[in-house]
Amino acid sequence: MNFLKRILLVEDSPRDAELALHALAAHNLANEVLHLQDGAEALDYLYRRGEFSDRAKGNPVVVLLDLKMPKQDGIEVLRQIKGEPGLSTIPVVVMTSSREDRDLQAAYRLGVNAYVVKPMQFKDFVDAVKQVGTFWAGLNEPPPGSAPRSERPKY
Amino acid sequence: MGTSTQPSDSPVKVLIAEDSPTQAQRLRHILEQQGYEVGVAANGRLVLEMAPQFRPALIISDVIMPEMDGYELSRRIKADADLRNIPVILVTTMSDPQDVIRGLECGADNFVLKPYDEHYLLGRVRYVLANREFQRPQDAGMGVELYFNDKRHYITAGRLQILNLLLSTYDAAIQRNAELSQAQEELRGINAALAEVNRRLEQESRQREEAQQSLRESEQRLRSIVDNMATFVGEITPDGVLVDVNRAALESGGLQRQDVIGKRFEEAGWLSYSPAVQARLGEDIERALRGETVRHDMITRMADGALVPIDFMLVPVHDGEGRVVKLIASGIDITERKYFEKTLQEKNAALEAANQELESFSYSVSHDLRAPLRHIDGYIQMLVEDTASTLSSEARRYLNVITDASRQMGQLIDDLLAFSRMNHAEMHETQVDLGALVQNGIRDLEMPTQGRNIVWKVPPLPTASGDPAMLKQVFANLLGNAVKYTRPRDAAEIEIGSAGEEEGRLVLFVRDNGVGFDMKYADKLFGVFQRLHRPDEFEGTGIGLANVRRIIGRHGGRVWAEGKTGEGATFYFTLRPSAPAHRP
Repeated sequence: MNFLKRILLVEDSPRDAELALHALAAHNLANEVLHLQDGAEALDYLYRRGEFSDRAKGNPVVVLLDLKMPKQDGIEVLRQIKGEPGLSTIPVVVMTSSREDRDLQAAYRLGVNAYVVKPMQFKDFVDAVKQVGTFWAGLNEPPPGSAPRSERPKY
Repeated sequence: MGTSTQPSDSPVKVLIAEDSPTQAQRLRHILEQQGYEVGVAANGRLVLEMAPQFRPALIISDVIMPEMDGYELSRRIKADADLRNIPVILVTTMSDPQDVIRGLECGADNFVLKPYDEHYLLGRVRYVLANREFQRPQDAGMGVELYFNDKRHYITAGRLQILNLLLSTYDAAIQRNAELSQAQEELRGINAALAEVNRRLEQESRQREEAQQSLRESEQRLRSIVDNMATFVGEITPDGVLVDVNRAALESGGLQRQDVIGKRFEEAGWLSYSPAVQARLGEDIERALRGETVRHDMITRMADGALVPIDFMLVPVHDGEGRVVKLIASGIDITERKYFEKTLQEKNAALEAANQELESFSYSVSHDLRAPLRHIDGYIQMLVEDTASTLSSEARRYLNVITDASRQMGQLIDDLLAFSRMNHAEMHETQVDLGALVQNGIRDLEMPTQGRNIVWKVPPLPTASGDPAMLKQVFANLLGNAVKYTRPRDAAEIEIGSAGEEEGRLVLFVRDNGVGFDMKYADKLFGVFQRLHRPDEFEGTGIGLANVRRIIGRHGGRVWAEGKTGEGATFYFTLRPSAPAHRP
């Protein structure tokens, strides 16, 4: 795979991923999203190793990270991203069902850029995903070395 | 008698013959005090040399002197025509009647008995001086021969001289007698005193004996106490040598008294199982010698070889000057305590593990149980979006029911999680203004009270001690319930107040005139997910009052309810009042 997408969604639940993509699609952000199903895959992608060794250079402008995942969980992925000089500037937004203190503590200690609890009701969920997507992939100026903005659709 | 009165300008001269300078000095002093002029010669010969020039009115002579004694001196003077009129007083101990005869033989005029007192001597001197005039005319003395003690004596003395001598002898005898009587008297006194002393000594000795007896009894009593204690006790010298141990200590180690007394403590058997423990005891003794009371758990070896934990203590005993003179070692078998400690630790660990499990359970509940609900909700919404136009109204109603059900399930999960968290949440107790808490609680109910006619009765409330966030939750639940269950009332009345004290705690209440409840279900009110109404009557998950009870319980108080179906309900709870010092 040699593509580079601007939003990396790391989410083990295909349903949650589908719901998130549905929400992003409603705001024309779906094409910008690469969905990976676990932490190990995400790290391979970010480090450009394994099956991602030949992908184009550059970092996503934001990583949307679930916490509870098999193999390497979100906290571990966050630790590695923030501990790696080449990756530490990538904005990471934790998106999780957990409002537990220990997860909040751990995430912020490791330097998470935002922490969003997935709302229970779909309407609220869609709204939350839209806000996160438009802010980080639109309004926010990403650090140098991030994936370039795709061609704006011509009017 | 004209010559016997002494003109003040010419003192009467007295010549003293005395070989002891101390005696001579004393005599001179006595006489000079009385105005006599005194000459001193160390022996008879010197008197004879001095007398012709000195011309004394009186010679006082000691009897025993070197070269020439008092008798010889007296004899020479009386034989000398020029000196014979000078009276001679012999100072003698008069220890022998022979002395009287020798005095007469030598012609001495008078005697002074040694030892003499001042008045006696001066009386003698004055008497002799006063009588010397009479002596001269009766000069001629008839010689008399007499035998005394198988000796022949030839006495030529005049009658006056003899009289004088005898008188002075008699006087001396009386004096001696008086002295003897006095001595006897004193002796009697001394004897009486001695008897008294003796009596006291006997009494003291009796008392000492009694004291010793009671000391022995007291020692035996103490010994029996010490020996019958379960505590092991030993006395150690500052060098670490055992001086005494009680029975419990001996029996614990299966040791005999004679085997341990005089031995070093660490070598006496209890601790010899481990050089490390022996070394530790050595350090303990050093510390105790510095005045420290040492106390720690230790392992001792029992008679059967079992190693048993004891609470060991080493206490220094000081003397009056602060020196450590001995150490008292004691030990209490703490096998049971250790056992319970261990059991408690295990129980604690188990509890900890259970808590941990519960926590990870609630964690997974929060994460895993919510996700499917979110999915249900999400996919139904997507379904509705995609098929809105083709669905029958009945199908849409079904989807609404599914959505409602999943939301209700989500609410139950959230409430259960909050309830579970309440058990683990740390409490931060401070002074809480209940009045302000109630006002905030009412303000937060703005939404559900919109369009309602509610009469709030809130008198001034006291300050209580508690966790502000938790107590806020209590009022939110109780006030929320009051608002909810008065929904059919116009006007609703809700009263918050304080109803005195119970065992030093404030009793507070929230009363409403709502639908009330049947008192036979009063117990069920505070159970988790317990409800007395159907969800279509009054919404809710049944966790609010369970939370209230849990919070008040964590504050050490209690909560209860009174009510009647259709006539409202009152919820009571107790809280610790804030400390008086903190009261505004």
